[in-house]
Amino acid sequence: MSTLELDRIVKHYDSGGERVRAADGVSLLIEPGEVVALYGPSGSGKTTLLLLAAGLLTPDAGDVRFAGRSIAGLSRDEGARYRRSLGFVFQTFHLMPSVPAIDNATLKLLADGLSPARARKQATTWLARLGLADRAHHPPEKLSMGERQRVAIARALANDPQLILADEPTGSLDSVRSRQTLALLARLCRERGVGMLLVTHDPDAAQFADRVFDLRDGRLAARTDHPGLTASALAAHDEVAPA
Amino acid sequence: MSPRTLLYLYGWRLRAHPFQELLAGAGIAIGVALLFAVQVANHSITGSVEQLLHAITGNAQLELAARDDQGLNARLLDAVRLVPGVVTAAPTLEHHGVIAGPGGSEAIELIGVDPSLAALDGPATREFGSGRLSIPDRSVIIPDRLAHVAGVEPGDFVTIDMAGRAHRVRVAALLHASDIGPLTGSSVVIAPLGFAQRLLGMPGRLSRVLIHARTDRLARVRATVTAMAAGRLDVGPADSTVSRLESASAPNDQSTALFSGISAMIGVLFAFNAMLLTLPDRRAFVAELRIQGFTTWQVVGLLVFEALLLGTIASLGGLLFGDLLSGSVFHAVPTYLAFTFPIGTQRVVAFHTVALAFASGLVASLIAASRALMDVTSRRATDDVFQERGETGERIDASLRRKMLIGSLAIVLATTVTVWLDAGMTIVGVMALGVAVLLAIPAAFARAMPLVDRLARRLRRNLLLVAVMGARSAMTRSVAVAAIAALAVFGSVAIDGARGDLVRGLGAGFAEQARAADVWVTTAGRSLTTDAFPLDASALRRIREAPEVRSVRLYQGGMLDISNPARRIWVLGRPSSDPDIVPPSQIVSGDPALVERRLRAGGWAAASRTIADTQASRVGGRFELATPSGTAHLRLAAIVTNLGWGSGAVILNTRDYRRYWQTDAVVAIGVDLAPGVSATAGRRAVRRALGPGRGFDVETAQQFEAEFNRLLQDGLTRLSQISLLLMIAATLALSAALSAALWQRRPRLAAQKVQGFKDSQLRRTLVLEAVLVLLLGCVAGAIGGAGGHLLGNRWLELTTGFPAPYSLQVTATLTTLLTILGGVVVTVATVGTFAVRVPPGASFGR
Repeated sequence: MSTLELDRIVKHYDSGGERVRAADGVSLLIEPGEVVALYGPSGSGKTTLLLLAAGLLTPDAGDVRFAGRSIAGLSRDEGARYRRSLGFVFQTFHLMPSVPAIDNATLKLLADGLSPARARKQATTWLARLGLADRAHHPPEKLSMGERQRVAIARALANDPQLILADEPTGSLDSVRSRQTLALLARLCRERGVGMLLVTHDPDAAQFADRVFDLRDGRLAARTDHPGLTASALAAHDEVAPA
Repeated sequence: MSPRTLLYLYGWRLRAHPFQELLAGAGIAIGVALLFAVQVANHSITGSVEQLLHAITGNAQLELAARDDQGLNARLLDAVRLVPGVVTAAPTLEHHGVIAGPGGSEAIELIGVDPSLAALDGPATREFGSGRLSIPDRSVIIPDRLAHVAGVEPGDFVTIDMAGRAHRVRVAALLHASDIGPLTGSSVVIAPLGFAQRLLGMPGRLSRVLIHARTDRLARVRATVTAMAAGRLDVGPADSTVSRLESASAPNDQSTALFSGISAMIGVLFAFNAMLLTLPDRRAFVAELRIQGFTTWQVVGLLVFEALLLGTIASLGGLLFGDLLSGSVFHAVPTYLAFTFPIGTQRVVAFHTVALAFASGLVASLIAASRALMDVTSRRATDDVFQERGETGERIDASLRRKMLIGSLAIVLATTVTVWLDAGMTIVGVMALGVAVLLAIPAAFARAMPLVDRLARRLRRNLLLVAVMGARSAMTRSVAVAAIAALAVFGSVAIDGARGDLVRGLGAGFAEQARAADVWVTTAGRSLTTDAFPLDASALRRIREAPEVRSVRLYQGGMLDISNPARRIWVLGRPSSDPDIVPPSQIVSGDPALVERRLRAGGWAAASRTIADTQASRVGGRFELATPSGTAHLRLAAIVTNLGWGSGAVILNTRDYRRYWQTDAVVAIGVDLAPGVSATAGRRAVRRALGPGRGFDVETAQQFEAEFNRLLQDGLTRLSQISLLLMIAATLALSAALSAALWQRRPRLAAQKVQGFKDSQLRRTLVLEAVLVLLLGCVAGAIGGAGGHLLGNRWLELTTGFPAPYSLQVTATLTTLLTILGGVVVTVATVGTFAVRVPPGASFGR
């Protein structure tokens, strides 16, 4: 598995004539299997850092490296291939309406060139692992918020990503569902040795991370090393944890 | 990606947005259908004549033809047969008439033939040579379709009205599809040559001699026959009639093509706008695909595949619908053309017609997909789509709006200059104007909404304020709806405006001609005064001596075939005693009073621009006309419109006409009634004077004008149909688009209910928002449409020669606008009633 490294990243925006410092010399390292949380209020630059990590934004200064290679100079197709090695989980799920959960979960596999039949087979496995076997043929509108987020997680993990980027993954969920979702993500990351960059403004989310960074005005203001929950503790929160 | 994966992903789209996809497909299908149907209808007119001519002329390469209905001397046939190199010389005598039976009547072409025609091996006549088909004397044979129209069977009698005489003729046999193939659709009556000559009172006369010559002697044969023609007859290819028909129907075809082109473009833009309704979702999906790691080519491949699949299915649907339209609504042949050409009812579908319509559908679909494709070119995968204000993917940013407005102004400028320099570019110009209207909508929307916002605040109209907010937050959707409305109004105003002017222009000319006398006598069914009939001196004397009659004027004229280029033009010989020899409203160039003086004096003619231009003649200059007696050397008194006849018209006085045509045959008798005699009484008196059994129509000036107008409306039927179809399509498209948009907005309506809005308030807000957006589109469309109307008129006058004086048609524009607006508002109110019933809980995603 590969390491993500953000090296002295600077990113400024102009917003209504005002200069906004979304990232101001941020350095960060995420090892395989490690969950790193970026905690901060709205507008602190969390999502910008996530987009920079995904190669969806280009930094004004500094460098983003993945597996030791800078992603700044990637061509469009190389950028696309890089993103295929990532798993994205969003607050609003980004699921196609009216399309059954199983099909939604195949999206990344199709980008990898799998046939629809093979992609569905693989997605079925993931949905089953996430406790959605009997909901696989329901469209998002027929699923609860928690179920929708699990479909999104199944989609993110279906092609064995090397890093997960989660943008407020519990923003649309109640506290119980939030804990269940975070526990699920954290457990899967550890099991599979996949790093995760978790962007959140939920203070409870910190307990699922190995390290927590407090982001204020584009700077990593404080750092909390956190041992993370034990596997048994994670399982207690995770309603779909293996018995 | 494999085709299977592409199909799989397209299945997602269909599941997610079936209605919008259907809407986009319907827009493309409507455009394809209109384009296809009109092209088939137009092509069938010339195609059916071409089929008939080739079926008769067979392997003939040349024809020696009379220039008018009076024909040529049959002795020339023997001379032609003696020319070295001539293999076959077959005579025909052709005349237009009307066949009538118990079942109905129809305009026909009587063709008198002799057995030598079979030697030309034409599909329609070779059976005469084999002996399988023969026509007994005093009988005719007709296609079974025509027998069905007339309601007769072999052995029955039909009436044929020709040249002012009605003849009862026995139908000897019917021609079936097995004998003549698609020609069963042709309106031809075939008679033995001698019998045809007797029917027409033209013994020893022929219309043409068809010549099959040895290929190696063809040039010499042509030269010899041309010498025989002595400048009084035409020598040309055996299918010259097709060229003449093309020339006559060209303006009609072109004007129909212009309007069908506008309709097709609007169909394309309907599709584009229907796609715009789904654009926010498409853009979000493209962004999602790119985030998830799909490469540029994978995304492009998917979008192009979706567009092509939609285009293919919609185009096939459009072709089927177009086939139905061309076989039903657009199938009628313009009567005025059927008067002078043997046009059949068969539909002729050429490969290029199918290919053009199909390709248009595909291009439309690709254009419609282009906005989503533009996102692929953006460097950033998310392409702002998740960071825009308002609803996802709905924003059209200020810089894009500015660019679109500049593009719109540039198009208007370029179009004006181009069309001014070259009127032939009008079709493209009108289409470009439509695109300009479309491009201006986002800027107009962005400008107008703050104004309405301010107005609503000042007037304290809270619901209007909410409506403005709704329209602004879903900008792409609002602009799409406004654009559909704009295009619908644009098309209707442009088409209806030009059509209305054409009707007024032609109607004014007809009215002036009709009012020149109180009662008119013409050949039965020939109110266009194109068929000459021999003057019956005793009947004429009886009319003159009737106490109800004050004076009688004789009108001459008919069709004249000219070559270089081959045309069948309309010649009007009008008496000097006519109040207006040239209808004043039809004079394009020339002083009316001077024109009248010159034509009365003789040696002068008025001609349509298309005819004068071939000789580079100007008013006052020399003008030559190839007449049956040779070339007439005249001077040009005026340039006139084409008087409604596509190939153009020439007007001269009857003295000159008699001199050059060497005939006393007339096409109409104009009767002025004595003071105090009513038109009806005068008409009865004239009919009495003519006696029974005559093939004449006797009509009052009012009836005559009404008949002209009926023919006029008949000739423009297709334009009216296109305009009506366009308005129906627009209303349906807008209703469907707004209904879909309303249904998508139920979560927001639910949120508004949470905020305390009542159902009735929300419904009013929805209607207000629809009216706001539609009004913006309609006003933009009306302004653009007025420009399109102006261009269309200019083109009609300059290129086709039709009279179409421009007038701003406010009432027609308002009617179109209110019809579309009314229809759509009713739909929005209805759908809105159901949409606002959404439970408030839906705003929480439940």
